[in-house]
Amino acid sequence: MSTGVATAAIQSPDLFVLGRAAQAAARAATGGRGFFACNVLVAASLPMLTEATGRGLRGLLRLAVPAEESLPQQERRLATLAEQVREGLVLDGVVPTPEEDCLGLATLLFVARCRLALREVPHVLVDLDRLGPKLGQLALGFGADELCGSIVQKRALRLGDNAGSRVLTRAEAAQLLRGAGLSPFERVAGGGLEEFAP
Amino acid sequence: MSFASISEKLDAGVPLSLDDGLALFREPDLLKLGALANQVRERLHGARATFNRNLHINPTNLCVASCKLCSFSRRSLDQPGAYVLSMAQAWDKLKARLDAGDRVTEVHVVGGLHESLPFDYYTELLAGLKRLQPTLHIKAFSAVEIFHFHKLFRLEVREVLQRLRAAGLDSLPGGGAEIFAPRVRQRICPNKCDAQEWLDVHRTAHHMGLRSNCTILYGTIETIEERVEHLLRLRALQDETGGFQALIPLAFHPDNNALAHLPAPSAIDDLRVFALARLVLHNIPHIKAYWVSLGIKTAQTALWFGADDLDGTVQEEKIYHLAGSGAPQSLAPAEIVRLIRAAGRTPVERDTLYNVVAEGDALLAEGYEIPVGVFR
Repeated sequence: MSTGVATAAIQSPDLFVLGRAAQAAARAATGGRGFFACNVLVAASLPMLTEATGRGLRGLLRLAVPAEESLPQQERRLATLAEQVREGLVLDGVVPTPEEDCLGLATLLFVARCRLALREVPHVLVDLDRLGPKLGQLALGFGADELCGSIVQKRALRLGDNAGSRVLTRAEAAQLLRGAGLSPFERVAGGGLEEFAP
Repeated sequence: MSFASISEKLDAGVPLSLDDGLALFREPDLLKLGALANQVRERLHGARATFNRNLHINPTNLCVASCKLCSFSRRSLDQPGAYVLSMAQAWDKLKARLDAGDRVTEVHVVGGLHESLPFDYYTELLAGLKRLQPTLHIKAFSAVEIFHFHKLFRLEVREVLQRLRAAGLDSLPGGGAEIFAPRVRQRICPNKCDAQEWLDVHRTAHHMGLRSNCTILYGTIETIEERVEHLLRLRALQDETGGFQALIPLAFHPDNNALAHLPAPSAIDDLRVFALARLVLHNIPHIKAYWVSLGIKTAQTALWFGADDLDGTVQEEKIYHLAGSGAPQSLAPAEIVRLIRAAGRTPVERDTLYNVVAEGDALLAEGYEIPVGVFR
């Protein structure tokens, strides 16, 4: 996808044009694979990111999604980050994180714009603790390709005190990816990837 | 059946078949399906998205049905959480809203199938609500409850409806339809009325001039064939009577019930059902995204996948919250307006019959602010 096409999609007033362009870009970048990881560290700022990657950790940066940010403001913020990556910032993925009163569609659109504007960044992650499994899975159709958050080996039934728990099992995380049309791969110790079999 | 040929049928106004519905359900590209449903939604309603100011009253959760899908019901009063509201308690819920200056236009009344409350309890409940606010629209008692009254009080369904109407009933809610397929009904709600009985109650109500809503409960054990067949049966009754106002797709919630081992439906499944419902049900005017069932974020997104209504302000919803809904108990009108505007839609406050109560400047005049960065 050319820069011009990506820019046009970012600025499109049509939800479906933006979403499908981001989805196509994600599929092209990952080959239709979707990833999940049980434990990830996400830097909240550029200095933290630099320190983390300096220590050999994976470079993941949290990007706030304010409720009231105009499209030009968003574009400038993402363009600045893209420029920093081109200049050598080590960044393996971004984690769009909606602020308290940010609504669902605004989050999905920001995810899509991240995918299209940050083409040098391999991954757009969904923080399941912040988005929840429903919006998180939808984000996989808008350019995200990886799930992180509270993903565990085994979870109790959602009864009594555990009702409303947002924790997902690894199998459920994989199911969310499959439901979004992606082949699930788990990030394992040492930076490897393992295909998650049903 | 190709996607293109289905799109052509829609453009030509040809009703979709079972095979068309199945093909759409199997379409892997959700955004492609959503865009098609959105075309139909915008053709019918433009950018408008409606809501109302309503109040839910659940008179009792004592219920003889014991449906596996339910987290709300209790078998006896000695069980934790079991209750029966007194008349005063039920009326006070409305009185409190009215005293607070809330211009509530609708009360939605549904509850368990109580084994012994007298019929007068229900008629007096409605009459008392009407006395408090004569202009109020009372949408009360699902077809399952009406059928229960018919059996319990040995009255014809028409007689039940006539007596309730005389007491203040204005329309019927759409609950209890679940999935019509006997295989599913037998397993998740064997003691409820069957599909034909549910449809007959609505048919009778429509013939009496009462309007009603309809529902589909998805995400338990039903197949996609059973989902589409359910929608087609609703469409057939609508062809006959024209009495349905809205379909409300209801997502199954697995917390605190006998189906807790099942996963909740995914958001992709949610939106697929909404899109499919909009495409298959050409003759039902509205598709409602009930935010209590879907969650606010998915409900907002559904406004682009076929839905044109967000239900209402609600207040004190019990049934879905006991089943694990993480949505708030109520939304202020300003919050719903913000939700709709932030989705790039045009908010319109409606009454139960979809007459406009307030829109445009009338909403602005109440201090609603348009958020910055509105999409579209």
